[in-house]
Amino acid sequence: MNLQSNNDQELVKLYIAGNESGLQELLRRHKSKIYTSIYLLVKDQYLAEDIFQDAFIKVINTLRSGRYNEEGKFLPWVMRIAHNLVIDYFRKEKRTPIITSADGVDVFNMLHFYDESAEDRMLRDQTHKDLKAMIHLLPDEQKEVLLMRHYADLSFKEIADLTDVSINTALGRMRYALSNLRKMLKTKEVSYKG
Amino acid sequence: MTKTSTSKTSANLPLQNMFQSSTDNESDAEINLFYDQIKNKLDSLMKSPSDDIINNILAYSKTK
Repeated sequence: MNLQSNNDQELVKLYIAGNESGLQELLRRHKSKIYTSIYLLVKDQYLAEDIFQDAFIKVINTLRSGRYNEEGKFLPWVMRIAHNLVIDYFRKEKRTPIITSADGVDVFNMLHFYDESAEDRMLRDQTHKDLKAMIHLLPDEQKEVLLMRHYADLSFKEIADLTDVSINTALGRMRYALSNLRKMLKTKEVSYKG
Repeated sequence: MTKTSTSKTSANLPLQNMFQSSTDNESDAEINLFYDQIKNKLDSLMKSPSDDIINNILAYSKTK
């Protein structure tokens, strides 16, 4: 059954009606957006996977119990659940994110850049690490907006609703996030040519 | 009494101060251009959860 042309709301309805492939397609469609947003906040692959899984368990329980009423806004809804789980985690840990690299080998990179030279690969790996570290250095509220906008593809209205601020504040935070990244890149004199 | 002073070069500013500093010198066009330039790099940080996690979720769904 090809569900790629169905919108999220149709997939949710299919799933609620008992068709598991609705959930499969929703996962396929959104897993990277949601997971990357979590991962770049918590900076640990296994913790990010735990939170991702917990978020979808809540999604499943809510959908199965008939309590879902987001009407066509599946992704912002899941992002809100994931966002709350991340906040819960940091509250429990009573700490704010720190810059430690707990991630392993980046399989994504290995798959897509197998034909480049060792020197190019080293440079790219370094720029990856630099960029990741710079994102982690951003103030939490700026980092959140950047991740939700760029990775989760949420609108500023959706981000504003999710983070309980005005649209202008969300826009301003995105601007500051980009400005600060730019500043840090300049400071580090990292070259991001092509 | 000893007077102390701190250099105000950007390299010595605490990060929080750097972040709070004004972006007035940067136009929206510059910021947008920078975002366009960096989009591919941000995209390259995209990751997916493992297949095991997806399978766990789907297995859980079938029990509900």
